[in-house]
Formats: sequence, structure tokens, C-alpha cells
Amino acid sequence: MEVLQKTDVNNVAKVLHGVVDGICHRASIQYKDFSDAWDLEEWWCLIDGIKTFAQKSISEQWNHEQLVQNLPNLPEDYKNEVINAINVRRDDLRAALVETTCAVSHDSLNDFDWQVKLAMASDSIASLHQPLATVDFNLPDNGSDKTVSVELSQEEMKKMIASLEACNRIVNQMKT
Amino acid sequence: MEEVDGIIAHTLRSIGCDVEDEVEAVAQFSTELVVEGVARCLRVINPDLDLPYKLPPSMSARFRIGTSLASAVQDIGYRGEVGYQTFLYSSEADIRRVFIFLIEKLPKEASQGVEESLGASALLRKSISAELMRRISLPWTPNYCKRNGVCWRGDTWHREAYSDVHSFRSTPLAIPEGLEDLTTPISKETRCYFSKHMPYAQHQPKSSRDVAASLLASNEGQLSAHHEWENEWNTLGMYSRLPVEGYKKKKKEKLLQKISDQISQSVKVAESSNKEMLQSLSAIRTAGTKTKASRFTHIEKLQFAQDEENAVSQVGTPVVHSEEDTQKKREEETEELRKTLAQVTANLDRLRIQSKKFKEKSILMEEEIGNLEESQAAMKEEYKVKKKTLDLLPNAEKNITDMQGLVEASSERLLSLKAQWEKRRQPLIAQYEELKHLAQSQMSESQQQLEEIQELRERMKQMAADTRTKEEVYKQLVIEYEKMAKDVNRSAYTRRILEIVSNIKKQKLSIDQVLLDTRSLQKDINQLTGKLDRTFTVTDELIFKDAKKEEAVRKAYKYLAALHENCSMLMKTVEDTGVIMREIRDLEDQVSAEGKKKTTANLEKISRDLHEMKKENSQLMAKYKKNHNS
Repeated sequence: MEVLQKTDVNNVAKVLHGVVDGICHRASIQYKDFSDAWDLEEWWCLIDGIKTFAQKSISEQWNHEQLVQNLPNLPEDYKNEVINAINVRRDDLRAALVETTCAVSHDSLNDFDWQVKLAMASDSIASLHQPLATVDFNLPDNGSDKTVSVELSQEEMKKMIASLEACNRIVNQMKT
Repeated sequence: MEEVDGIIAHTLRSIGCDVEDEVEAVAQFSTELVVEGVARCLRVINPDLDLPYKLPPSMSARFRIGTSLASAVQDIGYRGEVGYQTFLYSSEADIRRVFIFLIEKLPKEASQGVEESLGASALLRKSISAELMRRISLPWTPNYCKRNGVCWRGDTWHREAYSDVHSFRSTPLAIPEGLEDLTTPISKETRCYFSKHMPYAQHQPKSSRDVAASLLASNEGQLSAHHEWENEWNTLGMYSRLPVEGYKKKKKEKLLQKISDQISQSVKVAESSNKEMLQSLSAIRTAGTKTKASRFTHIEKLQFAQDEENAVSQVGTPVVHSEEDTQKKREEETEELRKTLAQVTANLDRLRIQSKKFKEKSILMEEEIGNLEESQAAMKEEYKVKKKTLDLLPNAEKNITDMQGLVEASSERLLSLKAQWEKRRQPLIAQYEELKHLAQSQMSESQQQLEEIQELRERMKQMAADTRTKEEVYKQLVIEYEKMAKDVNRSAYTRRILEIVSNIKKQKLSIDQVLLDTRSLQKDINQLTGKLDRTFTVTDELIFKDAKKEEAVRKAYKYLAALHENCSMLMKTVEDTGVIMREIRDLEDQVSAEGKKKTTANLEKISRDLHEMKKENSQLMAKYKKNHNS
């Protein structure tokens, strides 16, 4: 964290917010914007440091004094910038951490995509006209994405939707 | 008639005839236009007919076309008189009649629309297979020849394949929150973050391709959350009689409680199973380690002993004695110390046990003391009472009466107190009942209001849905209205039709009146003729009787007969003149009708055409002869 001093005070908030965006699964900041302030090794150390600092500050619920204590070797104005940024993004960080915690067990769904196709004919039937749906499930897999594709006919699609609706009903029961 | 002509002109324009704008009446139609219009109408009615639209220059071909047109019109079902002359030497009324018939026979546009909509899915399939066939017949182009799958296919640009399609990956988007509510100010730092550092929505996803997906996903999430909340609030929230925040808080607490319960339960289960596992594990481990450890330690000991021996041997022999002596001494000392230590510890243990015993004893003693003290207090009380009674014994009588008085007074006081209590109680109970009642009524009222609110909400939703559907219908109708042809003025037509109908009614009325008049006149005439006949016969008989006697009367009879005959003759001539007059009028009508038919012009035309025909014939003859000669 000490290498933060190499850049201007006004840039600190930008760096902090960029790293937090990365934690929240959004577009992170890029090295090319700050290549004049740090070399690559310093940059990696800095990013990792900020990441662990931010995650720890949320997961252990540090208050203001604890935050100050955990930033020992920084000048006062840098400290203020860092603490402000963490305070502003508290909710975002918390949500992101809760989400990653929720996703620890088995597979969880990130996104899904679908295509509808019309099979005009097959090798044995001249005019088939059967609609088919391809559903892609995006699952997180050790930091990267894994895609599971399923092709379903109309009946299978209906069955899947029915089972999903049953799941939703159970979730609703849990909620109330 | 002008309206009819307008409709005819409009219809002819709509089926593709080149009718000039200033041509409005059938009288202005030229022969070419008539032929083209009739031919086009026939083509539309029956596409199989092969009729030319233009008249050829040759006269005989013209006549042939005229006759074929006439026969086609008759084939469709035209009942009136029609021939080549109808088209070539047109008279206004005939042409109008033919056109009205043809336009009525034209197929309606509505029926075409229905046919098209019926075969929509079949059409789609057909077009899909046609497109596939077309693509199969085309040569394959490698992927790098088409940028984003766009390629030129002969006539137009097409998009092919999936090279520019990418999967749907969304990123959670951050949006500034708490800005709508101006009453709750946001902190300076947050404001600074929103205004300076927060990236725009299009920069938030990792790749610019995911912008649309992310926006869709976040929008969908918000929408479904809102729906769910609305649903829940309507079904459950309303009946909890809590404000929105209160309900949310309660729900959160409930959920947290549930989750913690679950977690603690599962932790317990896991712990118990863990314990079992640990126990079994430790059992195994102890069993295993015992043997292993003993062996290991044994080896260790051996090694250490060897090391020590080595060390000893290395140190050398001269000091061995003294070393051994001191060793021995030390060992003895430690032995002694150990012994004393054991003694001391044994003593200590004993003392401990003794002190424990003493403690127990003292506790017991304390308990006994407490018991004794209690019994002492009880005995003291007893003693007091007994002493008092003993004091009272000497003058028992008086004391007893005193006591009775006291008892009575206290019972009276009790009664009065009871009465007072009752007095107080009555209104309190009444008030309680009232309040209870009030609370109940309030409850039911609030229930009712709740139901009303529910109902109103339902109605609101329904109304909103209604307005939406109505708006859609309205839009559709507007579109339909705009689609409809505007050039034919419907309202003018309907007005005209209504006028015509009223005119016809008026005319019918006058006709009826005239009929009535004629009937009454007929009746009068009949009556008069009857009267005349009767009077004639009577006078005839009277005069005939007298005629046998007198000559003068005979003469008078003759005159009478002559008069009667002459009168009847007169009547007949009058009737004849009437008939002739009517005939004259008919003929005059016919003359005027014929005059309208441009007979003279047509005659001139016909004679001209005849002349031309003759010329053609003579030319043909000359050609024939030439050919024959050569």
C-alpha cells in the first residue's frame, strides 16, 4: 500500500474505485493508464494489497480507527482518500462478497442465453418443421466461465420450465 | 348519373387504365378508352382471357376484337343487348350499363386479404425453403470474405452465419441511488463518487459487447423484483396491518431467525457426527500411535543412550571416577528429595481431604443452626399467643363479648367494603365491555377497509389493463383507417344514396296517388255508363210501347236509336284518339332517345369505316390477283 504515494493524491480515489469495481465483477482499471507511476511488479503488489485491504475491511467490519490503524505508513491526505473510497463503496463491496460466498457450493448460474431454431428436415423425414431451443447456461468455474449447452424440444422445454417454477415456489415458501 | 360516372372512372384508374383526370363522364370516353377499360375489367374478372388492351389499326381486326369483347361480356352473364357496335360505335347509356355490370362483377379486395392471412405459416415455410434452396445453389464463401457475416449475393446485401453473434453475458451494473428523494441528503463523499469516479453504464461491463445484455439483465431484475414485491404486498403484506417499513423489518428478522436456526441445527448435526468421527479417529490413532510411538521412542532412547555413551567415552577416563561419584551422590540426593516430596504430597492430600470433610461438616452444621433458629422463632410466636390468652383468661366474659363485637364490626366492615367494591365494579365492567365492543367494531371496520383497498387495487389494475387494450384497439383502428382509401368519398355516396331512396319513396307516393285517381275515374265512368244503359233501356221500352200507337213517337224512337248509336261512335273515336296520342308520345320518346345515340355521327363513322373496309378489300383483292398472276 505504501507505493500509493508514488502517484498524485487526486489519482488515489480513481485507483481505489477501479479495484473495487474489479471486485464487484465489473470492468477493472488497467495498467496502461498508470504505467508512468508504477512498474509492473509494484502495480501487481499494489492491486493485491488494495484488494485484500478492501475485502478485510468489509468482512471484519472495521470502523474508522481500525481503518486508520491498518494504514500505517501513509500520509494523512492519502489515508483520507482511501478511507473515503472504502466508506462510499461499503454496500457494493458487501454485496459482491456476499455473492461470492453464496456461490461457494456446487454450481451457480451466472447467465443464460437461448436460441430458437426450426428444423426443416432431417436425414429420414423430408419435412419436419420441428422447433428446437438451445439453452446455454453460464456457470462460474474457478474464476472463469464454463458454458453448458442443452438442446431441447418443445416438450422438454415445457418440462424444464415447470420444474423451474416448482423451485421458485419452494423459494417463495422459504421466504414467507 | 355524375356519381356513377365518377365511380366508373375511379375504378378504371384503380385497375390500371390510363384515364385522364379531366375525364369524368362516360360521354367523354373515347372508343379506345372504352375498349381498354372493358378488356382490363374482363382480365381482372377472369385472368385466363386473352384480350388486347389496344385497338389495332386494321378495320377487320377491330371488328373481331369488338365481337370477342361482346361475347366475353355475355359469357360472364350480361343480359342486355351487346355487340361489336356497343364498343366501337358507343352510345352513352349502353356503355354505362356495361361498365356498371362489369364493376359489380369485379372481385372484392377483402376476400383476397382473407386468403393471404390463411396461408401465413405456409408462406413462411415456403419462403424459408426457397431461401435455403437459393443458398444451396450459391458457392461457398470463406469466413474472412464476409465482414460480420455480411456478403453480397447478386442483387442485395445479406447477413449470413453466426460469426458476429456472441453469447449473453451480463455484468451487475451500478446506478446512483438515493438521488430521487431530495429530502434525504446524501453524503459529500458519495456525491463526489457519483459525479467523478463512477463509470458510465456502457463502460461498466468488461467488454463493450456485454452492454446490451447487462442493461437487459439489470432492467429485468428490477422489474421482476418490483412485481414480486407488489404481489407479496397484495397477498400477505396488507393483512399484517403494518406499514411498509415495519413489514420489511419484520420479514427480515424472521428470515434471519430462520437462517440462524437452520445453521445452528446443521452445525449441531455436523458436530455430533464430527465427534463420532473424531472419537473413532482418535481411537484408531491412539491404537496406532501407541505401538508406533513406543517403538519410535524406544529407538530414540537407544540412540540417545548411545550418544551419551559416546560423549562419555569421548570425554575420557581420568575424570570418570569423580564424575561417577558426583552422579551417585546426586542420584541419592534426588532419591531422598523425591521421597520427602512424596511424603509431603501425601500429607498435603490428606490435609486436603480433611479440610474437605470439615467444610462439609460445617455446611451441615450451618443447616442445623438454621433449622433450630426457625423452630425457635416458631416457638416464640406460640409463646406470645399463649401468653396473651393466659392474660385474657381472668375476665373471660368481658373479653369474649369484646371479641364478638370486634368480629361483628369487622364483618360489617367487610360487607360495606364489598358493597363499595360492587358499586365501583359495575361501571368499570360496563366500560370494559364498551371498550371491548369498540375495539371489535374497529377491527371489523379496518378489515372492511382492507378489503375495500384490495378491491380498489384490483379495479385499478383492471382499469389500467382495460385502457391499455383500448388504446391498442384505438391505434389499430387508426392504422386501419389510414390504410383505407380516401379518394372515394364515402359520406357523399351514402348521402346521395339516401337522397335517391327518399326520391324514390316520393315518386312511389305520387304514383300511388295517380293510380287511385285513375281508379276512381274508372269507377265514375262505369257508374255513368251503367246509368246511361239503364236510362236508355227504360226510355227505349217506354217509347217502344207508345210507338205502336203514334207516328210521332215512332219517329222519336228512331231518333233516339240514332242518337244512342252516334254517341257510342263518338265515345269510341275519343278513345281511339287517346290511344293514338299515347302512341305518338311513345314514338316521340323513341325519336329523342335515338337522337341522343349520336346516330348521325355514328352513321358517318360507320360509312367511313365501310369505305375504309372497301378500300382494304380492294387492296387485298389487288394483292391476291397479283399473287395469283405471278
